[in-house]
Amino acid sequence: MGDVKLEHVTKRYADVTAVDDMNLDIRDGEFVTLVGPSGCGKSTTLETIAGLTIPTEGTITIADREVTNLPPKDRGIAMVFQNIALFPHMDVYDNISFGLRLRDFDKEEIERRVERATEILQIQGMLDRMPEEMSGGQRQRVAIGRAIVREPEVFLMDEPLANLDAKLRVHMRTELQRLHKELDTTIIYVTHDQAEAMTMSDRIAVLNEGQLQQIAAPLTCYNEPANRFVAGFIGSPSMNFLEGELTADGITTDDFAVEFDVAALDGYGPGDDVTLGVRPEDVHLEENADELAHPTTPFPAQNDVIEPMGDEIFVYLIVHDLEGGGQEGAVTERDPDEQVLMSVDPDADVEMDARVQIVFDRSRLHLFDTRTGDAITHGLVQPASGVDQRAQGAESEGDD
Amino acid sequence: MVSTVGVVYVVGVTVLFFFWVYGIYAFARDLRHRYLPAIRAYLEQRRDDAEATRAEEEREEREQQLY
Repeated sequence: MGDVKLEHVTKRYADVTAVDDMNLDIRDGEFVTLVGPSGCGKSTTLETIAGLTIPTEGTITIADREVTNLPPKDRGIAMVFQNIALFPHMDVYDNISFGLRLRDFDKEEIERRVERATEILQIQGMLDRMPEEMSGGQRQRVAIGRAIVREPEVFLMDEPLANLDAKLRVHMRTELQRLHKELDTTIIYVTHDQAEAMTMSDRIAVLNEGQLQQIAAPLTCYNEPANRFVAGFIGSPSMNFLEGELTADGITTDDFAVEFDVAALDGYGPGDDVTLGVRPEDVHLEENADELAHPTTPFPAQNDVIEPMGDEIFVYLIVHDLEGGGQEGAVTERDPDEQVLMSVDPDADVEMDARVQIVFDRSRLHLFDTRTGDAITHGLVQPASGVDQRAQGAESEGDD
Repeated sequence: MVSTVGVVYVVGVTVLFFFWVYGIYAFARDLRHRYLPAIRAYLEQRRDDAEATRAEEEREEREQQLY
């Protein structure tokens, strides 16, 4: 049983609170990734689970046993570090078997476990090599092998791919997924790379300033972010945010309005400041509005910067104060807060400085409280009905 | 009758006395503001280094428990 539970875990360093009242319940065999920007407390959280740091408050339970103050060796866990940390004077076999020899395992058992680990990691022919003779990816595999042979209840991984080049990182991502499938052990993984988090995890825990923002399946975090931070952090390129105000008929901003049933929003009404969130792939040119089940009313924008990416084109649009700008190409404002990023197909006909009409996919719009940042609703198809409206929107699309 | 030699002697002794006193004063001042703080900083640094080394060794030992 490799379930891990953190209850009200807090870690303070002098004036800084690195982890603030963290509650996590990780199930046996789950792959959970702690993700967030630098300094958000993800590594400190992992270190409290590992026993490298003792929390100031709270309790940590691993496999139904409280381990808050136990040393790392008594927690039934193994950890893979970012810096790999192989012993340079030991060959691969000795590095992998180090932990077992330290615990006085008999030779036959050590050989059996090392053989199994090297088989899983496909490094069988390298047992007598020294670390300096291996590539970064191979060294990282040895470090993972060192953790595997321990047969722990929980694997902890602290940005193990951060020092690898981009191509190898993508390859190792699939290797780790395969490893998880094969071992079926709980893995708690820390990364600041949201692509790693999205692709490998059963659930991701998004952290900011030491606090847990949301823990959910990757697609839930993407489609139904709990707040504006999660919405902005998950997804690349980031979600567009447009501030506005609720009216009796919907939301209005300086530049456009989206009508929906405001009365259906729980606890919000006309006059409240809200922020509309829309992902770049949910911004469309008016000519493509027919493909959408629930397009908004078109509104004008002007192409500012165009970035061809190969498989798609990113178009930075200026939406603010176009009416006063008059002629095409006359807009000079370049405030990033007043830009909307649109992602279009690579064969789309887009020109720099051209005036266009754009629509949003209503079923993919998000509404946040401007003051608190909390999500109010996801999907603004008529009628609005709370944060789980996405599912209803999807159903009605299916009916169409 | 004040002789020239006497005047030179008194002036010389006075000048020497001044520098002697100033030397004692300067040493006391340097001791207070330079040497003692430097010694204190050196000892503190040594203590901090020892503490950092101990913490690093402890951390390394704990990390090795996770290998």
